[in-house]
Amino acid sequence: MEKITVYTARAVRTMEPSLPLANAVAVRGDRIIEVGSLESMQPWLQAHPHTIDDRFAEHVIMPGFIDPHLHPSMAALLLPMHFTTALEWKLPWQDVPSTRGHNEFLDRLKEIDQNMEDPDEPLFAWGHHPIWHGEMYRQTLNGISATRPVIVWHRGFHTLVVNDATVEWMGLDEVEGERHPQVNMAEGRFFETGLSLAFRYFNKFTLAPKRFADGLERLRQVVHHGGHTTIGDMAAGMFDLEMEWPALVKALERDDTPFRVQMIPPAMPLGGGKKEGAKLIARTVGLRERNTHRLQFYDHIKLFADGGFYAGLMQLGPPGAIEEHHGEWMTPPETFEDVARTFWNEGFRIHVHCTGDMGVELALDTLEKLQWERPRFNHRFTIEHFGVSTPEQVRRMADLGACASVNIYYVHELGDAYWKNKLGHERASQMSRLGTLARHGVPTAVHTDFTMAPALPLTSAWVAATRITEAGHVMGPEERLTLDQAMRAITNEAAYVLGLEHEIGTIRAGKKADFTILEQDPYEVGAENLREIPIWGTVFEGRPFPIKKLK
Amino acid sequence: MTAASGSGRIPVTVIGGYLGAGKTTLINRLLADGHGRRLAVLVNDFGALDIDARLITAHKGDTINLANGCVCCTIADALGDALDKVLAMTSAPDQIVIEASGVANPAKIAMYGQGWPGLRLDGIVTVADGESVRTRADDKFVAATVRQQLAAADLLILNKTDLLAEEQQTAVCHWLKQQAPDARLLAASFGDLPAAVLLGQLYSGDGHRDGFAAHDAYRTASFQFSGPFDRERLAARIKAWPAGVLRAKGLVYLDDDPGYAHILQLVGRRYSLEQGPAWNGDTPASRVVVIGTDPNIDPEWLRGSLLSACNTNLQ
Repeated sequence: MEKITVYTARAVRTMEPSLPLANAVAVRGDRIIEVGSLESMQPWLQAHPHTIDDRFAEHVIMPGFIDPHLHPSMAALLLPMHFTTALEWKLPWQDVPSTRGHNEFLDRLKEIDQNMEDPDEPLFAWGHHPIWHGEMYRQTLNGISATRPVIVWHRGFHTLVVNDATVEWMGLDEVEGERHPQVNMAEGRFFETGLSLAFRYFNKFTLAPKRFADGLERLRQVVHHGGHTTIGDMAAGMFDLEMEWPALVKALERDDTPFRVQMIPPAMPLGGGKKEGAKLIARTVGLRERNTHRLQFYDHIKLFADGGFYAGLMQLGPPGAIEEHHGEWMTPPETFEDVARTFWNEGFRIHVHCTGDMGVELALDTLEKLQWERPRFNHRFTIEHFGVSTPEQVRRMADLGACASVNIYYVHELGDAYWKNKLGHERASQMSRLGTLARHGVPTAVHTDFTMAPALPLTSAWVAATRITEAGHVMGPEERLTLDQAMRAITNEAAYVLGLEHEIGTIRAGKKADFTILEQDPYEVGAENLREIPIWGTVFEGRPFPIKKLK
Repeated sequence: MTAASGSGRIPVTVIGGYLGAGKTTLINRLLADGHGRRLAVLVNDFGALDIDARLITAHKGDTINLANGCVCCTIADALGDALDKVLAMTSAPDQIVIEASGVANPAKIAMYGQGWPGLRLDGIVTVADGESVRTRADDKFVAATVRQQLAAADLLILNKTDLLAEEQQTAVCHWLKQQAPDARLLAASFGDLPAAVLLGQLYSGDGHRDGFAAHDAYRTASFQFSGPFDRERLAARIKAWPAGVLRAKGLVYLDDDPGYAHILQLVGRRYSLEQGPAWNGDTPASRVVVIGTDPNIDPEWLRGSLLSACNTNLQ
């Protein structure tokens, strides 16, 4: 039998109310044997060979952080691109500075261009936003390079602007391009459905196996650097599962990958139409045959209600938006209900993408109907994202036994913009209403939907507990979580939402030895400083994985 | 490419409408109809299609080939990929029909038809379930979606009229016209509309098929003119045509660009005139075919309308 390793620490924050604070945790293999103090665990230590490892003596041990909702494949597409965002991003290989101002943006592009080794490699820059950077045009980008394709992609993903060299690289005929109602060749602009036309040419480059693999390797580093030991791929196979799966296995199922990925596939292709329930179930169950140690399909599936929040396609109930607003449904409501019923009746745990209050309403109407038809306990029906909602919906969630997995970064990044341009202050300040969820006792995790928000759980917890916007003020103080609730939202509540609370999420005897090692104690530094806490690294299934420092 | 064969772009017809309106029935009919054209039909799901198994010559994954030359493909979340697949087929189809999802805004789907290289938009056909459309248009979840679909239509099909009493039909027609003031409204049951109305006429050499023997409710009228048209006057005349005109198609000789044939398209009120191939050796002449509801179009009146946009009166 393997030797027991005892990690001593300044503090072990177990997140277990029965024993919240300890200073030693004993691990054998991939499991926790006991948590407490060196004295209290003597019976174990006297009975078995062990070593005391005091490398964390000055550190704080927490349960391994969990992001229950991000998108590795989307990240693999985006991470090889150059970040030129108005807000700073911490990436393992680079601290991306905040870029604000038109000239600053262009300078940044020039700098990237000059630092690229291959003169022909297309320069994909992600993060442009007219509010911060002014408008970009084909002519503007010709000034960056006359020979290298330069592609500037909007922060919210719905527009991109290209230079002459890109048009040439694409091989897109000017006249053909100009025919498209959502392409403006003179301005080099592709938007909304025009993006499909652009990616028709880009995909062979951006999704090329080597670049995609490189993107997944970057994702692997990002996840580790955030301090995660578990993530949920909340739309597994979003581009094409048969293309992505081998790449994911190759990139992530490695001995030195310090995290697991719970694979939650879409319940069906989007778009609707008549669905044959038995086939959907068989297909979904069949996915489990692929499972590896770290990558696991199981009894969780994803459904989609309304459109994207950054794209502004959420379905809003009264009073709608300040300007004319067109929300979208990603699934016809009737199809949504049929498919939800199919999986509900088979005992699946259903996660629903809902961004606007009408999206939430559809999910809850459906859940209520299904509860009436075939009551279930412990079903973990989870509302994902939860951008705009009403307090009554939260109470109804509690009544129906629903959980929430909330994108809290909406408040930070979009709070000011949606106050001024879309929702007004009252509703914008109550986006991602965590406080109400807590008051009603709804199990609540926070997530990043990475790449929608930085994959940094401490940053998510910081926004959850402070609701500080990018402009620096507090929006919706009554919707803040307490520090403790915020830390739970990235540990045990996130484990609960993923249905893994018996294995991970807290530190107690019998669970997986997954830890995040912090250099400061969140409970001492306070909510305002959460995102500044340095992370030493993680322990995944009993093995320490330090984060390699830059330089 | 000769002037007679048109622009060389494959026309795309988008079929929209809410879940259950009858889009699939319409598509099933188009696939079974002996209209003689090779359609590529892009659907969300094969599940609801009702294709006679004896007609299927091949079924591979997301593509079904039919004996009549038509092919069906699933869209599977990536319309662009599906269009590229069709464009890569060894023999290009005569026309592409896209079934929009039940919650899609067909106007958005139509942008693919309008802007994808090698394609051009024919028009948007929205199908409305005569029984339920008004309830849906007030539904808590889909009201805006349904109204958007109706407003996007060039041709609006009031379907399931077999289930409506006459006064119900009148009332719903009246209401639909308010929702889609730009559309031409047609009544149908089980999607029983001729392909020529839904998809337009085919150019087939010199003699085009009339094809409305079984459909007394519709008729075509065709016109030839040797003199050149004035671009502005032609547009003005056609835009003023009565609601009985559903479609028109033509090759037009224009006085401001006499070297090239121009392709005239009218679907509902969606009018376009685009430069086509050069006349080259052909004698420039215009030919226009109009499809309308009978007896609501008057060929003589239409001829007069067109003639008044012509610069020489040699007909």
